[in-house]
Amino acid sequence: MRSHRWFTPWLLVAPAVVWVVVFALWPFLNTVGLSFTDARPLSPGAFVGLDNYRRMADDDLFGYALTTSLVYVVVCVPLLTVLPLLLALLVEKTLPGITFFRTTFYFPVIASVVVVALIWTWLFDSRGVVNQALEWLGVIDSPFPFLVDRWGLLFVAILLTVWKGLGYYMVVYLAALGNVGRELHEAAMLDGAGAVRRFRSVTIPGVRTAMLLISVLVAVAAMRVFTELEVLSNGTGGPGGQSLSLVMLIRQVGQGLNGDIGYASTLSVALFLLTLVPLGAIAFMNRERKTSGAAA
Amino acid sequence: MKHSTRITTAATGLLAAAALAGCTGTAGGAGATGQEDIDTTGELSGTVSFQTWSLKNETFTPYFEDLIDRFESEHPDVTVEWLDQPGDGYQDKILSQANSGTLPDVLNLPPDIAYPLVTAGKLIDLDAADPTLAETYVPGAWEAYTYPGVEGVFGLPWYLGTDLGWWNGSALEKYGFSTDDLPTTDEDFLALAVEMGKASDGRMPLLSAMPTIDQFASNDIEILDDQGEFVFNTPEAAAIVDDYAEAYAAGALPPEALTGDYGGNADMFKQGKVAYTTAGSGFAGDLASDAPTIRESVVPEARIGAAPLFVQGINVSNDSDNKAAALAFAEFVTNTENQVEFVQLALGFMPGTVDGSADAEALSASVDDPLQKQAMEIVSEAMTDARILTPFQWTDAMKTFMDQQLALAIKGDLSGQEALDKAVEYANANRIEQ
Amino acid sequence: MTTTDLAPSTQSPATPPGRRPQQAGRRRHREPLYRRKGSGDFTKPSLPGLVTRYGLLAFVTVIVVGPLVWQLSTSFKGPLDDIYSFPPAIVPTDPTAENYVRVTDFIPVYRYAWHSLLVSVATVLSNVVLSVFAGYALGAMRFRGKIVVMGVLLSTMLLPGEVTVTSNFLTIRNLGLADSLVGVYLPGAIGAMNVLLIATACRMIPHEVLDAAIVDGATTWQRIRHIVWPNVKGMASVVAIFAFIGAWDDFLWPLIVLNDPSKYTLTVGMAYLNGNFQADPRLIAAGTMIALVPIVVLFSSLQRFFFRGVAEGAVKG
Repeated sequence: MRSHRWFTPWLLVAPAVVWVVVFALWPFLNTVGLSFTDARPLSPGAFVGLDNYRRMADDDLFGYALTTSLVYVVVCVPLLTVLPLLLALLVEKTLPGITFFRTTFYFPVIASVVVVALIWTWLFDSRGVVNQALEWLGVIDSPFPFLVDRWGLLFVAILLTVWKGLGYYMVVYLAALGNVGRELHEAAMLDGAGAVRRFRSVTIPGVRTAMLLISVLVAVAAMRVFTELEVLSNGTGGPGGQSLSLVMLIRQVGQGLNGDIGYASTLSVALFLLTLVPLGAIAFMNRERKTSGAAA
Repeated sequence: MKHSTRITTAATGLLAAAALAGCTGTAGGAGATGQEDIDTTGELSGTVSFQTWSLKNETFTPYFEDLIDRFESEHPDVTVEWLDQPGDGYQDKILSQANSGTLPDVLNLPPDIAYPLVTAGKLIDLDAADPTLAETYVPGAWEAYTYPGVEGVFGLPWYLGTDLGWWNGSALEKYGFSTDDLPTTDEDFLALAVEMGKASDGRMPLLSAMPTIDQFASNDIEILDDQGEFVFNTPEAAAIVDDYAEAYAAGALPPEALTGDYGGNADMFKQGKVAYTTAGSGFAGDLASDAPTIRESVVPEARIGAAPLFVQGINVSNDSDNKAAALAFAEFVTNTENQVEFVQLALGFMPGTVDGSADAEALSASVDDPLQKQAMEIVSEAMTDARILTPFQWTDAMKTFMDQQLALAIKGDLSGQEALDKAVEYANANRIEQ
Repeated sequence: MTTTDLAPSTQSPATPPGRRPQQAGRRRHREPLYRRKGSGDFTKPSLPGLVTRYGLLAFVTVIVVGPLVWQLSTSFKGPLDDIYSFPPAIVPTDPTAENYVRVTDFIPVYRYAWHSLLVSVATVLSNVVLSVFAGYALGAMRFRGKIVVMGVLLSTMLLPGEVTVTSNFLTIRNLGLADSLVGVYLPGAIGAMNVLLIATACRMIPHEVLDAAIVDGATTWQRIRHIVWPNVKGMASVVAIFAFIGAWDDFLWPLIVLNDPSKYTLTVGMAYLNGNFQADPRLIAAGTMIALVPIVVLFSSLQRFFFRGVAEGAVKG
């Protein structure tokens, strides 16, 4: 059905597109150009061809950063797609005091990163609460230095990411859950479907589009993880820089008035291209679901 | 002096900068070439913008307001606009100012941040502008604003600092050590650290930071050779790293120090997690505010090894439309009288002029707190020998890289020599002055 | 808090989604919150279910509030309290509200908060409105080039934000907006992610409903106003929250744009608390607690909107 004149959608998307082009795409194209130079912040630099890309291929730190970011995506996407949904279901019902809980669960999102980092290091410090608890339980004999171990750091950072992300994505699910019909739930209950089956056959299909969106958002955010690892490792990326993420490496290389803008730009371009991989995967898995609204 | 978080400090110049570099086609060229004498004796007029770094607060605001008032009354046609930038994000701010041609006329830059601006021709050669200035300022600090390959001097020394060692007395006593004869050499210090690590079973380490470039320099290891190549991967330096690795194994260094940032050792000290740290004399005040309990038994001592010299200076922008008034104001801010008054507020720092630093006694006269006073005396004594240990060529990225390698070495995954070789290789591959 | 949408027992499936179910649950009965044996109302949990639910709620709360409690406690600590002791001391031994007074003496907290509020509210408004426009087009209309637009939007989400800062500063300066709150606001006026969120919500609107409106001769504007907006209101409040927090918490960008301290936003102003020579964690904590207030207020008032959707969904069935 011809529902609109050809230019109507363009008018509607125009502001968004213009904004994005001016304030995001243009700087990015600039970055691509710079990745072929040896520019520094106050000197334009000279064209160096693919030197920066060759350097990247040989860079141990880039290898570590790539691993970190990929591990992050693989672990965080499932966790942050499912757990916030469960949390949303938990606070969906109107119960006395629920406003309090809903607001509280949102706190991690708005909590100051500095404070959070401080608390987190207290927990996972070699003499911190977690180590004390593990020793008391007899799981370990001597403290495990979570924060100076490659995988330990990654583990703690992922915990922190999940902790911070729960409330954030919970809110998206809450909005989406509005579209899951109550009747469907009731009908399923009358049919004798248990909670698990109702979750799988009623809730999940209803929030499917939201799940897709959230997995995309999580994948992008995970690929670009920065703050958590930065604060937990004080910007060092752990011993040997083995727990660096890509964005941390970009900063380490390019920050400040003496930064190596050329190489940092190269890493940014690589990050951009690499982020397309998980996105492509998610998009591919969801090709069929174009009109999920009709299912509700 | 600054114990803040690196998270936000971590300047994000990066791509931001990237875009800039693309836009400033005219930057570059070594220094402000062909610069002439600037005459400040004539009638001055116009507006001068003046930028400080993180000095707008209860303590310093009245000082700067008064300073500006006095200058304006001496030069009635000049208006000074004071800007202060927050501590975090300063490099980003400077970068965006430099790139958009909006650098303030007069600003505060330490020598390492000033360097890229100098090479981009953004700062005035003050020696050329007024040849009489050279003899006014402390020579060591004056030279901090000279750079190899660039003719000129680009900053007026403003306030100078160094640091000292702080010992947690009650923590030492708890494990059977006394504060009466504290070690004064690196060897004794490391030996004590190992003993204490063993005695406390790693619960109260003495060391709080990994070795730094300062420490190598302080042990007379050459950092840069005449060609500007980094050469500090000597066996002596490697031995220091290996000693730390041994100390770490004995519980003399907390694991978290392997990822410690600038100021992280002082933070751990305040948390009661380590028994020693280095910090400026203002740390007495920090302790009073953040850790009053620890302060009760704290013992300040001169730093082990050579004292590092930290320099802050006042610079004049080459883009300024009003260079004469700007230079006059820069000289006014850094004259002996105003500097002495300044460091009476910035406790533990020394004025950057020859006359100002001659009378160190006067600086602590107004201080009542005995611990603060003691610390200031230690500092003013150390100042006489203090020298700049970290060369301006040593960038943040190099430091981070070296820390990463040293952490591996201290954990025992690399030898000290291997770690230093890698750090030197990285530093030489990324030299900034070429 | 309200028990409004507890259990509207009957609903008319004929209510068009465009109209809100008026007073659907306004009737309040004094009923137990849980389901009794034999009760047919399956939307209520059973008593053990209710207990478990509260148990879980309490559990998550404990995990979630730790840092905030510490911050709150620090903001009330007096000069004799250790701040960084380990393990942390939560109850101040020398409690005082003085820090809240001092922080307002130290920086003009309320003026800076006002600036932040202006920028944040403007950001919320433009994001919500423009995202609904673009989201509707992308989520519910068919047109050539849609894939390209989606691609452009998505790709910009992949760029680390820091990438754009200085380039954007030059743009803003060329527009003559440097050192102004408008300049602070402009780059964040619309976010790609928000468009995608709304587009997702639009995709959930049944096609028949929109088609029916077209048959009835509704203009694009009428469709947005009467069909799209009521359906995406829940997601729009999500966008509002995200946009608000993004603008409210931003530090680097306003720092770069603003020069004049009398124009600072709260985050930049608060950076002064963490200055050279003096940094009192008590003041920083008090300042951040003040900065939290608007967000908490906004969230607790907007959160209803997420749940209004729940009732509507039931109607739509």
